[in-house]
Amino acid sequence: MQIPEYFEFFNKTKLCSGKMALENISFDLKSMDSVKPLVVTDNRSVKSGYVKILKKSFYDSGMVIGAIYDRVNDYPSTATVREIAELYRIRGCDSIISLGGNSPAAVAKGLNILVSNRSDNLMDFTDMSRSASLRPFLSVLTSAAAGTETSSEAVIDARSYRSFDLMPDIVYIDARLAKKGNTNQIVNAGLMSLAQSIEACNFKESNPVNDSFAYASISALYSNIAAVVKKSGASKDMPAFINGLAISGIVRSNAAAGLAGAIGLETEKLTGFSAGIVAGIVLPRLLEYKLQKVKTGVRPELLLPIAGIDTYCSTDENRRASLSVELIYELLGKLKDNVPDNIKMMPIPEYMIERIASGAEARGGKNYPKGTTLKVLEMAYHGKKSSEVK
Amino acid sequence: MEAKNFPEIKPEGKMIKKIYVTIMLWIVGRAIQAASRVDKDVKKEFASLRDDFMLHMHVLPAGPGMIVGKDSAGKVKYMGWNPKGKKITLDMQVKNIEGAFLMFTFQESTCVASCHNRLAVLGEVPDTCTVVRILNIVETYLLPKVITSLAVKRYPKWSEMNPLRKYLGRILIYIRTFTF
Repeated sequence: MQIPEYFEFFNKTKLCSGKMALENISFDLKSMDSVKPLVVTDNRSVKSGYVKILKKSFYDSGMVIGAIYDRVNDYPSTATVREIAELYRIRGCDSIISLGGNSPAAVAKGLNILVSNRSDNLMDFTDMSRSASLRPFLSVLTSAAAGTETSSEAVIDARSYRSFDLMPDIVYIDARLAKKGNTNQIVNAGLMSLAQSIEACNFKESNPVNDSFAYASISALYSNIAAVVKKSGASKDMPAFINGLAISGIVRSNAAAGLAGAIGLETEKLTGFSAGIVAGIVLPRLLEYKLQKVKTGVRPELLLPIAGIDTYCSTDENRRASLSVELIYELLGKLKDNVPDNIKMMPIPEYMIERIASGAEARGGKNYPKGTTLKVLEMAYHGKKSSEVK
Repeated sequence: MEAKNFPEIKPEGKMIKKIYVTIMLWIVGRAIQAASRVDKDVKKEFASLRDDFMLHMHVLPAGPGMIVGKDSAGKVKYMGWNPKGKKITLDMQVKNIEGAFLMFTFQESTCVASCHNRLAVLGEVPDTCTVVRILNIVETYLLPKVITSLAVKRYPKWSEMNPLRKYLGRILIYIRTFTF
């Protein structure tokens, strides 16, 4: 293995996954000198019975839950953060638990900034270097997880707050909270996380520690997403899938933004369509384009987490990268009920393509030759493979 | 926003699980004392421990628990559940009642429970390993093979514990556990 001249990797998040994982929360909080947490969640978790399960996990712990705020919307807003901060202060809480997916986690991160700094204005902390050290923050992932919960970023009111301090201290993944989920949401989260993990380890400047995390994430996501979608999430594969999402959040915090992910996010911003599904359609075409035109940037080792050790060893070294791309196409084929063949079918008008491309290039296209974004996006729009385009 | 819409939640108890674990800890504590007088391996294991050895095995945050230790004469004794006034040399904490319930319903062996990070130990690691070995022997005596196989890492072979020793020891330990 080649170690680069210089690299950095940071992860403050401990993963606690498995049977009765939730029951560890009270012990872990006490070890962080916290005695009164505030739970931030959404209505979906209440309806799925996850809030009840979380409450039960505190039985016999001697720990009082300050409050359970269960009115977080799908759109994390500053107003919600301010409202919960008031509740946090009234109850004298000293730690935060988010339960659910992206939105409760983003609101919890914003809440942590406000209460730790005794402030009411979140916008003062767009530069997080001004922030005081944050309170203990635990995140409980459910079938609504998006992979952003473990990341160092919180997007609140379309404004991004970035700092490694925002990563949760501990993430809990418990099979009891991995029941049925929304299939479209699962595909969206899975493909976005897969795209970002694959892109994180396909740059020239490799980061060996981040690569190992990315490989774990790719393996967990690739091998479980089809089974999870087939059974609407209610399967034994779901905790493994959520683990993959959680690890991908750590990976994306330690890597530059990838182009497929950037195209997905820009499309979501401009058209409202799911970022993950667009990123999923773009990803194999981008990798194929890199293989054929740029000639670098797709590592043969990518086949290892995707296909497993047997296939990896029995495949010729020169063929490994292209086989990885074929397998990603194969995965999209398995998800054809949720992922269209091309972006045109979503339907997104063709005139938007250039706007999306220019926005995406600014977000994540710095490592590619000029014009790559538009070419790849055109291929994804018409559902063509790189080999079919001149 | 009205704070009263989001009330404070005081945790309830898990009474049945707590009673079950209390009884099991009492039986295991008494059985360790009995086994230390009946079984030569348990005797040997205790002989390797320090003279003031005292084990406190309990569930966080507030019990139940058991204390087993050597008295001034060097005899192994079950000393109840209250650690007040006792000099504990090995504190084995089960992090929560659910973890203890998994262990004492033999859904998880002691080794697996340790791997799953359900136990926290304050004290010497060699002493902890000795206690785990003692627990394995005691469980082999107390329980039928089907259940013991779930609770221990490896069920002892014929050469390690022949049926005569096992059944005779089992009777003696049961009598000593529940009588004096």
